[in-house]
Amino acid sequence: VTYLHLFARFVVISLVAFGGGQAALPLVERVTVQDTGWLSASTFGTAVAFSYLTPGPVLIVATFIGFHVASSALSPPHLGPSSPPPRWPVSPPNR
Amino acid sequence: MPLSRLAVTFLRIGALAFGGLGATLALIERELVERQRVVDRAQITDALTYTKLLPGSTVVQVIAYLGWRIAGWTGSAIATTAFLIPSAALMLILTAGYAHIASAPAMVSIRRGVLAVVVALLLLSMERLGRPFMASPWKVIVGVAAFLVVMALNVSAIWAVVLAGIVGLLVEGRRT
Repeated sequence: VTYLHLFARFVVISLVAFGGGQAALPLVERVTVQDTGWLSASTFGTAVAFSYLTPGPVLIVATFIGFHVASSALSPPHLGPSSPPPRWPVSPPNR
Repeated sequence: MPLSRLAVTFLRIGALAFGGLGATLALIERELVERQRVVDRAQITDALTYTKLLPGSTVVQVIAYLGWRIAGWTGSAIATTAFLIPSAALMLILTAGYAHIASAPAMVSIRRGVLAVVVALLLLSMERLGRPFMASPWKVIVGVAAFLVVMALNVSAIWAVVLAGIVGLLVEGRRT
């Protein structure tokens, strides 16, 4: 995944997202979870939950998704259920 | 209205715009129509009418339109940016924090609860959106067809949207 992919997908979503932000959420889900596999379903759900928590439009989920994609492309994926062993809290060293 | 005050006003609206479109429109009306008296109610209605034709977030488009009414293109750019800054900043903070604690046991449990609520909220908003949209037989047919095509054939949802737009143009366009 490159930044160009990310940009292109969201431009396309933006162009066909008729009916307002709420109506576009399923489309965002299809593209970022089903089509590309950038996020797991539960990570997407968390993103939507955060967008309800924050003021402003729900489509601000794009901020979450962009951050998530960029950080999992640069380093091993550490978000979502398919993540490697928990990094936190750090388990105490065996004595 | 000086541009600095415009920026501050829209930053504040952006920071307080909780609760979706309806609550945000009420906030905009209180702030810009009643308090600052820089737009009138009819302009908000105009904005809502125009945004029906455009894809994307309704709130952002209403803000862009009102910014333009108040102070032209510069006003529109400032208003839109200022409105989105609190939302995007808060989302970035939450996202960065979440990345650190996503796999913590407590976070996993919290997420299970939250996801159930998100699903319920999405179903509610789909129901609310669906009622007016599914008003005539051809719309129901297009909806069901899109569902089947996307689910069974694994076609990208974007193609379904584009195709449905073309069908809409053919069906409704012929009538007018």
